Amino acid sequence: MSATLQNLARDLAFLRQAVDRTARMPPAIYFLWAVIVGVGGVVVEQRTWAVWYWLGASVVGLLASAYLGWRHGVRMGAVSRERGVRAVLHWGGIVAAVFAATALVWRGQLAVEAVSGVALLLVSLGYYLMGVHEDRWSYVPAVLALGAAVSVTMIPGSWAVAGVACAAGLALMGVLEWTRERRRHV
Amino acid sequence: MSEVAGLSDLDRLLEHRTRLGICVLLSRNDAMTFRLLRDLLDETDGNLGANLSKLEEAGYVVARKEYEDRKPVTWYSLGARGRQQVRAHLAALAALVREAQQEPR
Repeated sequence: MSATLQNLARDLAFLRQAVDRTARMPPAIYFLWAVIVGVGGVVVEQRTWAVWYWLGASVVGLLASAYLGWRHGVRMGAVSRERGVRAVLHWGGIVAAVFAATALVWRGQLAVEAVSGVALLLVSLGYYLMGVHEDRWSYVPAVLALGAAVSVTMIPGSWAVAGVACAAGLALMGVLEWTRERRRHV
Repeated sequence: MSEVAGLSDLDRLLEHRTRLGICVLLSRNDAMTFRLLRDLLDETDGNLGANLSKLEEAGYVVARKEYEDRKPVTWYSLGARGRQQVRAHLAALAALVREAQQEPR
């Protein structure tokens, strides 16, 4: 009986690994957000149109990520509407929260200097929750975004550096994911 | 000898690791290609094909052929019967594991 159970446990562990491998973030999405965040970091220094950049980039980035996720699924050979909807709801919720924080600035209830830090905290929370529920590698961008939030709050004018550091982290994640995919298919 | 809980609810067709793997993976995705199933389950074309045929014959799995860049690609998805059987089989396995953990050492 115990030998049978050991085999069963081994089989189930193998299956869990296989299932986990179908639920990974496409590398293209990491690269896309590396560009958005990197450019955004520099743009924030030019205050006047930074808000417009971020509002536009977050919506376009969300829609582009949904498309890239779907295309990646078809190319890799696994499509899941449920997973796609869940990802859009997850990140859509974060973008909606960032919009709400921006609205507080317009209403004078949040200082304009604070909104960037709040947005980064929300993004960090988004990645952290993804790490909890989906892919533990998401803790890496969660820590990066948290670090950026702290740095832009504590050190004035550190946006460009924080943006480039986050972009580099996201690009690194993209490269790691891409390498992992290639190794699987070689 | 009393019957172990969950044992009678196990599905014979799903006792095979590859077939269980196919069904579990398909239960987490709307559709998957033959190639990805083969890679994830670390199987040969022949072995995977034979097991998929058995699942198709039993009405657990549905196949759909498409062409991508003029190459044929076969997509598999879990049918209603397959979904029901996988759920029952996994519940039976869970009951079996629970029962075994309660056994005196």
